[in-house]
Parts: sequence; structure tokens; C-alpha cells
Amino acid sequence: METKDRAEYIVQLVRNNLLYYQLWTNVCVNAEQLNWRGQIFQVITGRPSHKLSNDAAAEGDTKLECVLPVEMCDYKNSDLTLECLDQVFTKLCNKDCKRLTLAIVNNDGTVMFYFVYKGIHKPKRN
Amino acid sequence: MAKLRPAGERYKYPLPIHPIENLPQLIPHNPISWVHWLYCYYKSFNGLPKRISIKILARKYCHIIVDDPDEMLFLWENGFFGTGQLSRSEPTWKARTIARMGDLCDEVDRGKSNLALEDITDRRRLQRIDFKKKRQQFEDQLLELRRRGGTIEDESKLVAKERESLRSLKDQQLLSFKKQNDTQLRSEDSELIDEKGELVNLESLELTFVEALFLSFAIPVLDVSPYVLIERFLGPIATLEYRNVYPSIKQYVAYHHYRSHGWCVRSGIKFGCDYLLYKRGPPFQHAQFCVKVLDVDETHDYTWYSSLARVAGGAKKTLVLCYVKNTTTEEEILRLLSKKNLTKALSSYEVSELIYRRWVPGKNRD
Repeated sequence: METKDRAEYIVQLVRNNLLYYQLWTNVCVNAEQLNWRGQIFQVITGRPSHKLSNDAAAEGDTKLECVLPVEMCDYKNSDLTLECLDQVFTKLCNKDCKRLTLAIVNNDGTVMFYFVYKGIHKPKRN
Repeated sequence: MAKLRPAGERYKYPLPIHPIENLPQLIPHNPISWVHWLYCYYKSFNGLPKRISIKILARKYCHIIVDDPDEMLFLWENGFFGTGQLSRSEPTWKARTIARMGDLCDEVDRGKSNLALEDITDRRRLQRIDFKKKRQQFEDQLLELRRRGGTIEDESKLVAKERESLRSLKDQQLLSFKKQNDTQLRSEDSELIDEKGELVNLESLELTFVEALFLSFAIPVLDVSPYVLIERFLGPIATLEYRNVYPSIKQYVAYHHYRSHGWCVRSGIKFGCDYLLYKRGPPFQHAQFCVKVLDVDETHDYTWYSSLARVAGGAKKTLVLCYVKNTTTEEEILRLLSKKNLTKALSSYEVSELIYRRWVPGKNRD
């Protein structure tokens, strides 16, 4: 029960953040869940309000992004391992999804976003 | 919500507890004025009329939430405590949304809001994207020219043209940097308006553990006892183990140390350190220092310090290594905690600092 409450709390927080702070559209919490060592992971998809990176240049306009909310508490170890990310890619995302956006919910009220690529990726230009 | 008030006046107080003001004038040679002054001094009270209520959500990692709009504003304006969950730091989400949705929430106090910091950053980013697009166009042209085997003169002509045009674009952008009236509405936004036609407040203020402990232990602001906070975060006081308590105590000791020296201390999570130190607060200037809290015996390999210092240096901040030392024994700390003597337990710690800064012989000659 505890785990479930917690998962729902951060998923809702990230959803609101994407919808009403970052102003994304078509934001949708996917129903599929992944239980990884007692933690529930859920993916949110949505369309950003503007181009997120130059990766998209080849793919045309903004496309649906996959966002994975995870919780972090200061500098405590997290449970996010390579194996876990691999499961997220295979079980929660589309087959052609090459990039996942981690939404890290911290306990100071901020949500930070980081890209995770499947494999090696050319660095972006500043 | 941003109000049209100068920052110096809006953020007059560094902490939520204010000094006693409006005392009568004291005339040293007039004993009656002394009596009157003392009377007024004893009669006045500078505590809060009502302590601020918090909610503690979730159980493994706790989130401390303040959701009353006035209390959120109060904690922000008096010492910059907490972070708005849908804002960069100050809880400005409601004001920003009202400005964005324009006419739809006319009845809500529109017009009071001026440009929030987030809007300014957004506008800068858009301009930067424009700039990059233009630069990319020129670079594509240059590539094309080279492919066709253009002469060096052609090339330098094009480069000169690029420089000229990019410069004028920058100047134009600087000039046009003023408020535009851009209302954007999306179908998703209908969720934000309740039956009464008012904007729903989605945003709460979140406090970190150290902030909440400071606001309950050091100054009486929150309506929660510090021991309740410790129990919720670390477990029942009677069965605490030192290795579980120490990381949080270490963080708190450092936080309290800088707060009591008058710094505005905020989370340094975005810079990979524990705290950022502001001279007055985020609206006034950038944070000058990044603080990493360490145990007095803690050592790491060189790359660990180096990566911290390079991130801090890249953001034009100075890295401070803050060492916390326990001057008594671990058992004594646990004994004091179980006897609910937090003051004595915390004053058993000493703090000392080091500044760790990259030095480049060719550049830093002073």
C-alpha cells in the first residue's frame, strides 16, 4: 500500500509539472506498470511545447516523449540500475523509443529532467 | 504571487520571526520613559499568531508540504524557505498561469502579476533558439559553398556577412525584450478552472527535512515538534542507530550553522552539492557559494573533489567544503536524543570550512 501511494504521488506531481509548468500537451499516464524490487514504475507520454533537443531534427517536429518519474532523496542511493532501465525500455516504452526522459522528483520540491539514451549517442551541439 | 513592491521592502526580514518593533522612544534621563519602554517591551510579543501547519506525505521519502497560499507566501518572503513544486523556487505558478490564460480568469486578481523570473528565462531561451537557427542556416550555406569549391574570398565574404547579420539579430533581440501579450490556451487548461470559474491552485510549497527542522527546532514557526519530524524521517527515537541518524544530523548542523550566520541557505541539488549560500536571497543576486557537507574523517579520491569544483566553478561559484565533527561519543548523542535534549545533542558538533578552488597559473595571477 505504501509503495503504491508513493508511486501515485510522484506520477501525479510529474504529470502536473509537464502539463501545467512545462505546458506539454497530450499528457497521458500509461496504465502499464513495472514492479521492480518492490518499486512501481509507470511511464508518462506527452508532446513537448517546443523542440527538446537537436536529436529531433532528423525526426521532424516534436514527437511524443516518454517520461519516467523516479524519486530521489538528497544523496541516498537510488534503485535505478541498468537492468531496471532496460526493463523500462522493453516493457513500458514503444519499440522505436530511443530516448527516455527521467523526471527526478527530489524532496526539496524540484523536478529535474535528464535524458537517458538507449546505447551510445552523438553529443548535442550548444 | 509577484506584487508590485520593491524587493528590499518585500523581503525585509531574513527570518519568519521578526524583531519587536514600534517600541516608544527611550529618553535616558527620563525614568518614566524607561518604565513605559519596559512595559511596552514586556507586553509585545514577536512570535507568530498562529503556527504554520504542514502535511507530511508518503512514508519512505517524506515530502513536507505547506498548501495554504498565504503561508506559502509568508515562508518564501521571510527567509526564502521551501520551493514551489511547479516553479523554479518562489511559488509563482498561479500568477504565471493567470498571466498565460488571460481573459479566462479575469475575475481572479489579474493585472497584479508582473513578469515572473520563469517567463524571463523562457523568453531568453526562445531568443537563443532563434539565434541558433539563423547560425545553422549560415553554416549550411558555408558547407554548400565549400562543396562547390568556392574561393577563399567568397568564403570570407560569407563569414563576414554571417557575423554582421547575427550581430544585428542579437541587437534586435535585446531591444524587443519586453513583455508581449501572448495568451495561449489549450484544451487541457479547462481542468484548471473549477465550477465557480476560479483557477484551481495546483501548487504547494515543499520544505526539505533540514528546513522543517530549523523552522520547528531553531525558531518556532511550524506547528510540529522537532521530535515528531525526526521520528517520521528517521524512525522511533528509542531505537535509533547512530549510522542512520548521523547523515541527517550532519546536514542539519551545517544548515543551522550558515542560517545562524545570516546566510540564506537553499538546496544545492542542481549543482551537485548540498547547499547554496545567498547573501540575501535568490531575487537579489546569484548564490556565491556551493557547500558540500562532509564528515571530519571523510576523504575521497581526487576526481571526486575535482568534479564538484568544476561544476561549482562553471557556475561562477566557490566550493566550500564544510566539515562536521562530533566532539562527544556516538552513545552520548543517542542518549541525549532519547532524553529529547536536541539542543545539547546538536551543540556537541563543531563545524569548520575549507575553500576548494581551481587555480590556473597562467590566468589567476593575483
